[in-house]
Amino acid sequence: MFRHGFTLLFLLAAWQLGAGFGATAYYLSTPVQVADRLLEWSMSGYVWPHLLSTIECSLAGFGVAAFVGTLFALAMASSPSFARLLEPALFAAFSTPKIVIAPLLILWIGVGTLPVIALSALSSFFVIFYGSYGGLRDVSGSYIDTAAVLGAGYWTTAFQFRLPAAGPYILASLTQGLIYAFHGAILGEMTASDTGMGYLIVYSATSMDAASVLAALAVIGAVTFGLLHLLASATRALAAPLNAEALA
Amino acid sequence: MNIQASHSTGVFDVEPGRAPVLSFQGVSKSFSHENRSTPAIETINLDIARGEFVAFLGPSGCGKTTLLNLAAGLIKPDNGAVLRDGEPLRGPNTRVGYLTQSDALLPWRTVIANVTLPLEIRRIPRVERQARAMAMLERVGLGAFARHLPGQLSGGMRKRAALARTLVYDPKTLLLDEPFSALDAQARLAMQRQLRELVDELGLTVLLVTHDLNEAIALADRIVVFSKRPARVLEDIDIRHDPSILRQRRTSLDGSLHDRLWSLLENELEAGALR
Amino acid sequence: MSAIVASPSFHVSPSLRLGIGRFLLLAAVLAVWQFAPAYTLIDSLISRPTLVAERIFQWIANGLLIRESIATLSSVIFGLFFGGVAGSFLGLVAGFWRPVGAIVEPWLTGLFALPKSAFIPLFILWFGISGRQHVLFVATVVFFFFFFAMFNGARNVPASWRNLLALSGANAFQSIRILYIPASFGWLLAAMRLAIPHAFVAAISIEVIASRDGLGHLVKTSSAVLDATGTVAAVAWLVALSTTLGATSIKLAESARWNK
Ligand SMILES: Nc1ncnc2c1ncn2[C@@H]1O[C@H](COP(=O)(O)OP(=O)(O)OP(=O)(O)O)[C@@H](O)[C@H]1O
Ligand SMILES: [Mg+2]
Repeated sequence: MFRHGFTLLFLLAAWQLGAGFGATAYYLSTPVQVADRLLEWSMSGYVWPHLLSTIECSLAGFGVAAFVGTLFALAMASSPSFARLLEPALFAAFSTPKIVIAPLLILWIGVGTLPVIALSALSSFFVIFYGSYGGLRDVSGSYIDTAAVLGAGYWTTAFQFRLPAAGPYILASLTQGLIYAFHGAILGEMTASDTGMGYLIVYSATSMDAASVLAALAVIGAVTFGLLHLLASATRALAAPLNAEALA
Repeated sequence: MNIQASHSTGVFDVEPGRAPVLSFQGVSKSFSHENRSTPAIETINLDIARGEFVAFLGPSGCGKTTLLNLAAGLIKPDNGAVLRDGEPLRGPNTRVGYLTQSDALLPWRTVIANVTLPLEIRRIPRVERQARAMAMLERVGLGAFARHLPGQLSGGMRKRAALARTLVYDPKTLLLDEPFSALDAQARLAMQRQLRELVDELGLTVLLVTHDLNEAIALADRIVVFSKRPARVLEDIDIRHDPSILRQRRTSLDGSLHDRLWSLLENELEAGALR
Repeated sequence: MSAIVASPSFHVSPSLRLGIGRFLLLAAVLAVWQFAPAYTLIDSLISRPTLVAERIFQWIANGLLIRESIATLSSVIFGLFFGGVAGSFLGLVAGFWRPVGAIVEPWLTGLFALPKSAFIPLFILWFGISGRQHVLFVATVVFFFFFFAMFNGARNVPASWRNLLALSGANAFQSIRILYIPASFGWLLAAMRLAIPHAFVAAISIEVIASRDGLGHLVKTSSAVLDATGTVAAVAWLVALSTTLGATSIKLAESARWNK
């Protein structure tokens, strides 16, 4: 920890001093300028609506992806023939860069929060879907056999045996999905919106304002690490009882 | 029959003016795991004279491998010193051949490429190293498998390939950690005989870790018995080497030595089980 | 008699049945797409399969699609090369010399967690819009995969192998050449498998956000002039290309494994 702080300090000092030479400060900006911009943004309240918009779109996108992703995974895990039928289509959609949907969405519904939510949902859908699907499909045979012996029907088996048994996997994929939703929203804002942190980065870059670009990246980085931290502890807290339950 | 078993303090008499090949002087070593330090070996004093064939016997997990690692210079003692030819050992001991418990063959190299490895690192010319490796492979009966990958060999063949690699650069001292444990009874006997011949022919010094009492009796000039962890020297028994020993040691006298070693180890195991 | 005649229809192999199922699904989707727009106002928004196919053939014939594909793929290939070399080298250094790894690794792990596309504007600000800056961005993205592969590969070299080299008196360069590089081969394959699709995503992303050429650029410009057929055609081509690339990278990683 101490060493990392030292490295950071060293890098920042090198940047501050290095940028002082020639015209590089114009492109690189300096740590002091970036810090100043962050302070200015938070004092004037300029950054909050953008950040709020990004977070709202991320949550909306995540909600859609979580719901559709886990249900779809459950459906595919419960019925292998259905899964095999759709596998190529899903792989194609998964392989395709999600960003190409942005121009299509602009064409269909115009610029705004809707394409941002769509891109956010799409980005996190595949992480959630594939993560949950793997867990749900590999639920041990003995579980499913137990369900059959107890006379459980298709839906009971899916929701009361498969879903709880794959709990930790689904949870892990959901936590991953939240980060992807956040990043997907930013991607959407960069291409199809006029608010949000993504828009702020593009706007600042177009006006050749390096300090603002870096300040916006710093905010995004802070939120990302905040999320990672939050989710790591949430997973630890939630996974323990779920694991115990799965073993019981 | 001239087998004399003597109890000693652990420090062996060495010819004056000639330092032992390896010498453990008050060596101790402990490992820490999750902030708890457990001693593996405790104040070992042991001299290995040139040309001596010493077998290490002791309960599993008592610290025999740790002793060999110390002799190889792969780990440093916490206290005391390991001397090589009278000099403290600093860093890996490049003068020994070390056959470890795991064969450590590189899976992407053919058998012969594995055997030439030590020669390659010592910058021996290609032609010479191929010839030496091939000769050594023939010697351990793997000549026909030189171009195979280690994954295509049986456990015993892998052990022999590793032995060939250990011997290929003519080390004067061998550290062998349960070299024959993966072999069937017949192959083991053949390899034991081969090893003993090789050792006599080249005048090698050998430290052999084994769980096999018969192997220790059959091969060694001296048997050191260790206590359960942390390892201390329980007994240091000198049994003079006899060229026809493989035949002769099946007699009743050996039976008594066998029984004595067996009861020593049994006591250790019981002491361990009671804890 | 009738049973004998009827029996072949019950012996369709499962894989053939699956193929037929997938084909029917695709045909159904295309049919709905083809005929539904005729009765709606959104005809001009999603185009039709026949129009899209026509456009793709037209673009192939006049060389546009090939040109833009080459532009994108060259960013991918050069980016993979430079990012791969730089990442592997630094990963090896950081994995081999523990103190270097201890300083560098946490920072790279942190950077890796950030959204890569958010850095695109910064790249544009610094390096402008050109093919070179595409390569640079792709290289930056794939750098991480190769770095972590080599880093972990070097870290996970078993102690028994390291001891073997140490006892032979190997120096650092001999250890790296004889042991560390071959031992990391499996990790590099895994990195390759991840890096190829990510390189493609990176190239397309930067083309959509700001560029003068490439398939991403084609999608964006078609959309900007409200050319639905063109946009869908470009996206369809992109889907085909990225799926092929994704499947190839998986095959590559599977086939080249030396250990079973
Ligand atoms: N690198 C290590 N880290 C922590 N503990 C270790 C390490 N190496 C050995 N030990 C411990 O030291 C003790 C002695 O280990 P060692 O491998 O020397 O035993 P051994 O006598 O060779 O056993 P065996 O006959 O089963 O091979 C064991 O309890 C082991 O757990
Ligand atoms: Mg051992």
